[in-house]
Amino acid sequence: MEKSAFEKVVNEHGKDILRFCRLTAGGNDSGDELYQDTMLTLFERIKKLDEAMNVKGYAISTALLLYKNKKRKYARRQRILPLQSMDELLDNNFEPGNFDTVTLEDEIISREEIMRVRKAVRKLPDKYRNIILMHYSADMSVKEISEALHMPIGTVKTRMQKAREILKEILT
Amino acid sequence: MTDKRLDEMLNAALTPDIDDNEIIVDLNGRKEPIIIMMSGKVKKAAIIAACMTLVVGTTAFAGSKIKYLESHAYNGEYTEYGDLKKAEKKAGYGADTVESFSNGYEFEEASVADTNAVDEDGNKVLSFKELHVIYKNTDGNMISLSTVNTADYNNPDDVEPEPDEIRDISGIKVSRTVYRYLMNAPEDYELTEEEKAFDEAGKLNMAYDGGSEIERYNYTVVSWEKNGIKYRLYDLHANESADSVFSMAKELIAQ
Repeated sequence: MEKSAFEKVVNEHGKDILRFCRLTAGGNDSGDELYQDTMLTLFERIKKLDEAMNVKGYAISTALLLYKNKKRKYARRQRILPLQSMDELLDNNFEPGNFDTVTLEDEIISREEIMRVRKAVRKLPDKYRNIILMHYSADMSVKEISEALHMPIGTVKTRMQKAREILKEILT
Repeated sequence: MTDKRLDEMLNAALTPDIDDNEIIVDLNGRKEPIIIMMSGKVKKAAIIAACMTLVVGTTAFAGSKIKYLESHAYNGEYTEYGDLKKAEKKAGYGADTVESFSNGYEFEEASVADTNAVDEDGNKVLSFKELHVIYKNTDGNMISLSTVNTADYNNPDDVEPEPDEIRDISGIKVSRTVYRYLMNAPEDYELTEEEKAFDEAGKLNMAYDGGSEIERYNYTVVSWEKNGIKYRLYDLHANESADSVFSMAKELIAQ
């Protein structure tokens, strides 16, 4: 793929993909690493893709596969501090693997609520969490998720509904 | 809670702003440590990745005590099987590989790792290159092949646990060893009887990634040496049968 074409993909979809990677990997450092690996993979392979294919969906499914296959590598990013510091952190309510980034954009609701929602999403089983993150953080429609995961639209809708029910229970 | 309220909460929580400069992609790739692994009795602070290098306990080597091997590689450095010759050239040695195995695993990617032997004081006492190849099947399961040239690294003091099974393939001794992997066990964690047995046999590897859930599984390593090259096939999650992993070794040895 020409660099210019790849840059177009990055400019059009990079934020959605990075957001998804950060939330999937559970932190900015690990998410950024997952994003870089995802985009490098996309750059290597995109020449093989059908031009009609949804590039963002392909990138998101690539990120999911990379994360699944190399989970420990990205998780290791959480383990920046020496082990002896972990107790100290836990005493201060630090939760390993927690989402740790709150930006100005998040001021719509309180910081506590944001953390509570992210924690609830984090608790979802993978099959539900992935769909929630794809829909909300990567701004993908049910149809796009269906195509990216090679899954019937009905299944995506059912999982989305189930995920929302679980989240309501947790957050109410 | 209404659907609208839930949507508001999810949108607010899951759509943090991203700056333009944060999405820049470094097309030169980056080097990241992918492997640190140890053998022997229970120890902490091991890091495992899909493709990894075995395994040094605390052994004497060139007058120094080697604590562990540390490997670095570019992820997805070679994604076409036809480029493997380039990888071999970079590694400085050739190795037996196949493009696909009869059990369905196919070449996915290869990389050349820069590996350092590190002593107890954190000093690098030896550096060498290793060729790694990852194979994947249609279910997404992966088997990793790790090779090293014994001319570059051959520590006779390396202590390997007793294999679970040894087979003779074309006159070459091929060993199959099953390890137990234990992730995020807390300080006060008491090993199960099964885990104690793995520990006693030097086959228990403990790792920590900061997660709160304890994760445990068995993984298999198949190893052999041919023409001065040491080969190790890692089955971390694929759970292939003994016959299946031995057949992969056989197909490699036949090259």
